[in-house]
Amino acid sequence: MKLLALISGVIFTVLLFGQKQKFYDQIERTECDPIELFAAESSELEILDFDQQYYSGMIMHELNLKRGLRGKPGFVLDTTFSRICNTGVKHFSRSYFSSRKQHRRMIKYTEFGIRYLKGEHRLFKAYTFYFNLTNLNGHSRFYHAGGDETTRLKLFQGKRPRTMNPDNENYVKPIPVKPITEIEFSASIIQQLIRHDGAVEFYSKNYSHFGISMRVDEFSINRRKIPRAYIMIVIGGKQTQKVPKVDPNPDRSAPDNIPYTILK
Amino acid sequence: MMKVSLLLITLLTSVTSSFALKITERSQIKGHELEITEIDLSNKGISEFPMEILGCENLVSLHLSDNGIINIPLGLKDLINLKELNFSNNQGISYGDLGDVFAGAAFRLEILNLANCEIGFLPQEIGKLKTLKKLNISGNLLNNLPYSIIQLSKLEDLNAANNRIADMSWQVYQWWNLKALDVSDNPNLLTDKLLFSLSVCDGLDKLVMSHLKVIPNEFKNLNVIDLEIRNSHITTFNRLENSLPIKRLSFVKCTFQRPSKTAEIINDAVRPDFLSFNEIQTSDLHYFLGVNADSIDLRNNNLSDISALAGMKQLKWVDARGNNITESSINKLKTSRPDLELLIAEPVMPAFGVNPPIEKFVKKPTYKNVSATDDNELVLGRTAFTIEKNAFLDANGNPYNGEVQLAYTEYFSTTDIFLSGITMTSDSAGENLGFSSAGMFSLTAKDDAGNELTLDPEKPIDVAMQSSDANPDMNLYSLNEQGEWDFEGKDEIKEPFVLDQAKVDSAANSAFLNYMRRNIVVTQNRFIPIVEGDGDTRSFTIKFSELKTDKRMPPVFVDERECRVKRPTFGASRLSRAKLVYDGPIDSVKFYRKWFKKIRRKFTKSYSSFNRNNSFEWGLNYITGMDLTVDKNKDRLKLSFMYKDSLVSLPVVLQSKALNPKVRVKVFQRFFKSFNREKRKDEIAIKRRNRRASILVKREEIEIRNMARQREISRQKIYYENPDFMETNAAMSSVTRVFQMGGFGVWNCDQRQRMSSPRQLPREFVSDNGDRIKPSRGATPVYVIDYDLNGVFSFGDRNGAFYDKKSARTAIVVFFTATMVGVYQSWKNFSGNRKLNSQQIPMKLLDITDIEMGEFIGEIED
Repeated sequence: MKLLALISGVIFTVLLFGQKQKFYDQIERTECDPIELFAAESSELEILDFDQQYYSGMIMHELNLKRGLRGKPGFVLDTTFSRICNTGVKHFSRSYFSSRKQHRRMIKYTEFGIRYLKGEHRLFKAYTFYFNLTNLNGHSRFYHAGGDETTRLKLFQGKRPRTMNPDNENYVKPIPVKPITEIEFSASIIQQLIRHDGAVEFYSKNYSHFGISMRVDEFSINRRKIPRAYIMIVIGGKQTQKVPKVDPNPDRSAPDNIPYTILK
Repeated sequence: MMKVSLLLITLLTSVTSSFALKITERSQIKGHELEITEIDLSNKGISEFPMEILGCENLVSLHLSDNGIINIPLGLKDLINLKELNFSNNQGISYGDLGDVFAGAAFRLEILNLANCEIGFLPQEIGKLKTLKKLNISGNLLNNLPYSIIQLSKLEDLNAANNRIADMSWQVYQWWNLKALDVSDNPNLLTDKLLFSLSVCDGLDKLVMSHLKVIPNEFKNLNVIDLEIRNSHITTFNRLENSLPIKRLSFVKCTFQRPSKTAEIINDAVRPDFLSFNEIQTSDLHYFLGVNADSIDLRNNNLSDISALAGMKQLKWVDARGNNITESSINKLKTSRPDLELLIAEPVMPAFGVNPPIEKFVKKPTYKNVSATDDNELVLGRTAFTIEKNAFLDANGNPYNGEVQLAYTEYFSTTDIFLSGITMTSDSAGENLGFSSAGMFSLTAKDDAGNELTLDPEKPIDVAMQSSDANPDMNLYSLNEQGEWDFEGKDEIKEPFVLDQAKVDSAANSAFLNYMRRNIVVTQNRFIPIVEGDGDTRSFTIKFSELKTDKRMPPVFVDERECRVKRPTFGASRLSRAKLVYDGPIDSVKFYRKWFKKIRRKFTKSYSSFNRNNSFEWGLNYITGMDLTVDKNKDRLKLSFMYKDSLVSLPVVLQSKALNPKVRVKVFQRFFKSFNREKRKDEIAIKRRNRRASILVKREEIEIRNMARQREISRQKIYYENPDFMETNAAMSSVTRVFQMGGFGVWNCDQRQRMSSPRQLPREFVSDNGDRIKPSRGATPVYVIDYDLNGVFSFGDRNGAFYDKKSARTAIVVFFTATMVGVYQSWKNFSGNRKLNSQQIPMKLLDITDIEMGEFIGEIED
């Protein structure tokens, strides 16, 4: 029994160490993608050719617009936050985006990451969530028609019809599931952020920098699943922002050239 | 472009490095100012600082010892490359000038020698020489050290022997790099206090003390490799079995209350490798002859029996010179311990007459023709002769009246003595001892036909010889026809720069020397780090616990001898209560955590000794000047403090939960508000404290400066009224030896001396490239040229040759054949790739067939 406990202890430690090291390696490999700001349009999202950089820029633009309306300065892209978001989106397991239980662990990893990358903004808030990219709501019925060539998503609302032949008298014209528009997408994300912490935090002056990354869940495409995206957003600022001006040490600032000054 | 600039840099560097010129004559300075790196104008009879030195911008080393310099020009401070400054034996050097030069010093001095300068006080400005590693202030009249001397945190070697210092137990805590300390011959020194202070310091290699009154209990913790105790009465020797061993232990002129008990403690608790007893009572010494050690030095003890040494099982080497040991005792010891290396007499070969080692390098004499019927006053080289008329006699003993040709040759430098081949050994009570010379010359006279003349014993010649040494223990010798030295009495030494203290204005002198500057002691609370792991950040947290020091003491406490100042630590106390998380690179977390734990253990151990004894609460303090600053760019804090003499700076953050960023901002804000408030308290307290303490210090300094000025004026008056002083200004030396010579030949001012640490010459000779040199089958003559002693020892063969290991400058010349010579210089390191063992000695091989004399001297001396 003791031997078993010892072995399991050793394995557990090795696994833990491996996990931490893996995370650092991943951060090391990940780079920060440059983002250009674009305004959201009324066109639908390209789910199958999801342009992560474009949509990130779009969300950042919309966020800054919202903050601007409140008279707050816009977010500035922070390379450290972006690298952490990129790593998180690529390598965090699905539960990090769905379960609140993993939230504390996610925060810890983000903190390690910022320290590891020698980040210059140590006060942060990190959000991870997944997002429905279509106009379907969670309880709607839908089906997947693999042979359909009229739509790209091949998803249709309602119950799967008995016949797909338009000449058949029982034929009912299927209603395709549509991706949401860019405007809807950005508005919903902002709503999600506000829902997490409330508007007060989101519009706070404490945060000035921003990092975002998103990825479409490849297991939700081309099958009977609602297409969704994993999103990680980190907003941050200086933890020392409210520190008053620190006086110099009176002993160290004493003039050295006067031998009568008692220095030590 | 890049290549061209690199080439230029290389060229410039090589040109600069070629500018390394050593000057020993004042006249050589002009025209070579930029090339000179070393100036040695010691013992040149200079009474005013040579201003041409100030033009030598690349000067590294300046020796102006044994002169009469009082005033130092302010321009000296601008010699930025100066590293070594030697003003020793310049009696009455100006206190104010020294202070002014140190105050504005642009140089980074490493060695300063102010020995035997009759200084009563050191200037406060000495604290500006923060790079100083070696300081010699021995042989002065210091009764106190200035407060600012604690700022010499790089100090490694301090020689404060032969002064009147009363207390330096606080200052030693501030010299974290101190390795050698000599405080002998300070009769008023509080030795028990000093020993207590030294017992908690580590890293001390050598300690020399004298006049020990009481050895405190803390002596058991003293960590020193080499300890020398002089002129003391040893009552107890507090060492325990768990005390660290002292490898070299010496007693000079000591008496023991309980010698048997002390010997027992030395054997069990000190465990030395080397033991030395000089000038100890024989009755005491017998107890120590059973102590286990590798080597024992028993010089000058009046011992008659050393057979007890046979009981010392580990003993390998015995030096018992200068005793009256019986033959039977020596034989007994040799029989029982045949392996023992025993030195009973000075290992010097007797030599007679004049035997030049290389005939072609014999110095040519200077000739001077004089009339025998006139009174003659002439100067030849460094010697002035006054010859009465009709002082010369011919071979028949009749007065000679014609023209006389005088031949004069002088041998002042050690290399000249070596090349002359004149014997430098003398018999003293059956034992051959080497000579240490203060000047030697040969004077012969011939008539116009070339026949030797002699001197009328009724009309001796008055001689004034400019000497390199003012040692009063030296005697006068002349070489007789058998080639042995005859004792000719004592000479008179004239030192115009050394004033008789009685002549100086007694009021000014007494006021200056008896003035007691207060010893300033600064205390502050001590901090000990506490380190814990921090799971959230995978780092560690740092906190400090505060040890209150001198709780009841007021901020400034002044009495007649001491001014105690308490440094406020409100800010540091607030900081010590905060929990800080190390925020440096993840790889370094382990290292710093270990380091903090290590120093914590060390602090706890060291400070515990202070807690037990309240009177020494102001002692050792490892961590001072704690501060926390904000690095807004990197969004973290910087914890900094002085650990010993080095600044430690660590990135940290205040401990707060990452899940609640709002709280984190507030934690930082609140902490810094209170931290700043406490620091402001510090500032007010320091200002208040400094107002009182600084006024006190400043007033004392002004007083000392004024008194020093009065004393200098008084001294200078006497100097300029002294005709000898005025004459010496035009002379070449500061010391003149005056005597009468009763005959022609070789005359020498000498002292018989023993080697301090004689060692047999290693058996194997190795060339520069590491190859073994095979000497010829016959005898290999060896000459040991000891520059420290200014003497030469000649040995017929390498097997019986000895040299002084303690001498800093020794050249050994070995004649492998008549034309092939090997030279070893002790001050130079072996440049070969191979590592040499103790039985090998590196030799520079020279073929002397075609070599010039100057070149040969250069090979030996440089």
